[in-house]
Amino acid sequence: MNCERIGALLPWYPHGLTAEESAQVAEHLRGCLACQEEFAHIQALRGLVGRALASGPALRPEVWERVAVRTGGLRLGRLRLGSGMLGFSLSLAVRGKTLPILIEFFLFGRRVPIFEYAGGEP
Amino acid sequence: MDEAELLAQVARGDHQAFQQFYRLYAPRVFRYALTLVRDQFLAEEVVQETMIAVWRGAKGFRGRSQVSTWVFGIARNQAWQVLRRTPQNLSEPEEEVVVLDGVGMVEEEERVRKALTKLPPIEREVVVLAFYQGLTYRDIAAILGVPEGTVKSRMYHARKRLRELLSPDHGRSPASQSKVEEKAPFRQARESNVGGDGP
Repeated sequence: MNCERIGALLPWYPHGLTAEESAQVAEHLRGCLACQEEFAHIQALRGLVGRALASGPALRPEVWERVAVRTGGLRLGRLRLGSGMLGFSLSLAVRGKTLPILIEFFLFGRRVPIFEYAGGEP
Repeated sequence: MDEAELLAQVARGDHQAFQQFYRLYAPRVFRYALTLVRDQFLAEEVVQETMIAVWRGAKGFRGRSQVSTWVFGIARNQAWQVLRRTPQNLSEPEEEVVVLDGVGMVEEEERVRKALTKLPPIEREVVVLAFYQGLTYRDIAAILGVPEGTVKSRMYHARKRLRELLSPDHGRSPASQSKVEEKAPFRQARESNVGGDGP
């Protein structure tokens, strides 16, 4: 394989390739300084991207509460008024001895929870 | 227990298994969604709708694709739906993700995050799926519904752009000031293919 074809596989080397592809890349890397350098660049970039994304905002626990309300147990009912742009929704369910409740507004396409009770942690 | 086994338990209606699945996938889906919708609240909504779709659609998963391919495929569709009903001004002009507690960010991480936002969305998601989610190019092709060669080509262009954006000389040479095309939130979202295992 030439440098161009190897270069296209490098971002997925070694774990995202088939055994055969990995072996071909490894063999090429042994004898090609330019591709070794390219691989080092890719590894550095992978690390930078990983760290940058990992340090971004975290998923808030309230999201689980909303999911739990809509998936846990038997749904008693859901009342929706208005539209997705501007509206109101009330969801009630029964799970064991808990009564998950979710009340939310829809404001310009966003869900704005007003009250939520899930009765469980993820 | 492997992911497919866990999903099989979810399909049988085991809510405990679903909680475990949520812990495993929700943070990953959130990171991916952030790169698509670029807003923390919208990304949370994508997580919420994706996980509910997983709960409801787990029975439909036939194991023809990886669990991760299936989940990210659902997330991509949900992100598209969220963006479609969101007014343009909420998803388009943001330079960066809305961060609730953005204190104490390391400068380099901030620089990389900014560089990522300057990539065309179709390239950004390939970088994130490969470098952050650790997916193979075959899985990414299945999620995006594009040929494998397209994934490799998007990665090539993304790397080239990132190298330019992250170079110390960026912003000084006229070439580096070329405007990056940023039209649709992410092209081909309608054609998204979740490997035939969609819920």
